[in-house]
Amino acid sequence: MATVARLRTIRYIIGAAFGSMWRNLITTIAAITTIAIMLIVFSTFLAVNDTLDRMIDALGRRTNLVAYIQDAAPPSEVTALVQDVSSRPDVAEVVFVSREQAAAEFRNTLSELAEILDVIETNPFPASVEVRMSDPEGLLPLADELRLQPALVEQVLVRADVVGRLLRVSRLARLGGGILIISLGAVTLFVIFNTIRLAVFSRREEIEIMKLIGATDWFVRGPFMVEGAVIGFIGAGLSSIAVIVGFARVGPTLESLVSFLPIQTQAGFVTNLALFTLFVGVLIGSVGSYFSVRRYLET
Amino acid sequence: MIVLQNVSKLYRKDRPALRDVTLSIAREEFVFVTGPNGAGKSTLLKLLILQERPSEGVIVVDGLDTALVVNGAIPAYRRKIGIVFQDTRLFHNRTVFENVSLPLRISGSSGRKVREMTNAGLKTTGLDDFASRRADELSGGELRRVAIARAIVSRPQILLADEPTDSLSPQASREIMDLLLQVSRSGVTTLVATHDRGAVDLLRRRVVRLEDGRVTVDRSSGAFDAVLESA
Repeated sequence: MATVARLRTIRYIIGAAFGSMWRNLITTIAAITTIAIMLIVFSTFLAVNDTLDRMIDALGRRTNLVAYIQDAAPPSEVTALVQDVSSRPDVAEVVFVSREQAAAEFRNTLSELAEILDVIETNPFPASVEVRMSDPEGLLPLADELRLQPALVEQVLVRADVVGRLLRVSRLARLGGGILIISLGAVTLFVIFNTIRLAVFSRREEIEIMKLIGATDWFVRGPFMVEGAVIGFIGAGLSSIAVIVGFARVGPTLESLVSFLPIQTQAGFVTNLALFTLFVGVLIGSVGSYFSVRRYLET
Repeated sequence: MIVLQNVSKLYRKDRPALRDVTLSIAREEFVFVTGPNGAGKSTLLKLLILQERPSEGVIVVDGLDTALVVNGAIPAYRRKIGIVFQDTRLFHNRTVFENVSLPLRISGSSGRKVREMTNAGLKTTGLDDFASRRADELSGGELRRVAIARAIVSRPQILLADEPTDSLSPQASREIMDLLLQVSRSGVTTLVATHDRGAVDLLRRRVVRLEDGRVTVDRSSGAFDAVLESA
């Protein structure tokens, strides 16, 4: 019997929540709009920050150092050199490019100049060792070490300036991005929470009346929490739609503008972002309502 | 049904709202509580619905010492009492039916019971034709009727009314008082805090007069003026 009464109460609470949203339509629309705008700003920032992060990662994955091998260098010593460099903890990847591979790559990438190789009839390209660092700090010491082996290494090319800048940008971007995400997240929470608090404040008398005629705290709180969750869901849904549409429109344009950089427009990322936003919207809506109502329950 | 023994309530130390009030109200009795503004009438009602707790003394309602009602049990306690507030405290953006049926919804009654009991309450208060009207479309007298209907819809044993005829015309006041008397005759212990001289004179029921937080007069059947004279 108690369970049946409880189910009736739950049904009433859900009905009351939707009824109240309809009756307070202007407040409801204002709350949904505020939540949607704040989450659009936050989602867009998350997407931009993630894209920057991936761009930095991708740039960092490019070759940082090339050591050109003497033509006369014995293959066994070259193999030993490759193994030696590979075993360093600050090195992510070492690729040995033979003279033939270098020539083939030239033919592939610069096909219009391939005839030159036919004219000179010999392979002018030296073999090389391409190194990608996991920690760019070790780049310059490694270059110095390689230069100390002139019998083996003809020349060392280092993208030190690029690496150095990248390192600084990467550190700044990650630190700044982290701070901005936390700040913007806090502002978003604050604005949404206050929107809900204002909506509850405008109906504080309802809460008092309900309490005075014998409603339990949960009976009073329930419709507000359901309403908060629904408003949060709709606001977050609108934000997700805006972000998905925005990415679909802007993404390809950006990709074509900077085709050498990895702009993040994969469906998986946008879907995850939309799901995360919906979760945040529902959570803030219901929890915000819980705490907003609590202060008026002491009647 | 209601017993107050040496009850005092202090909001501020220098000016108690109620002082050493001792009062006993029998089951099914109809009692007027009169007195000037600030005499303690509303405080008395607040103590009875546990909106406030007494600073001193004992309040027993239907055999239950209210001091033993813990905060979590207050909603169930309040559901046994019907209350008509001075400012009606209705949901003005809801229909009369929705307002009146609210106590039944709160107690988890079935849809059928809600319909039956709400319609009965509306009939008792003469609001049969107002069920689907919004509260903000009603006159002052009609709003009081809705408030009374909401207070009695769960068939409580006790009905408390705070200035139920305040700002109403003499005709509307009389109708409201007749309605309260009718409810009382159905076996409900009724306590009406009022300034309404006409109503007190008309009904000639027990009158308890409060002044400065004290009971100055308690007459089993009195007129408003007689009470003033004896005070």
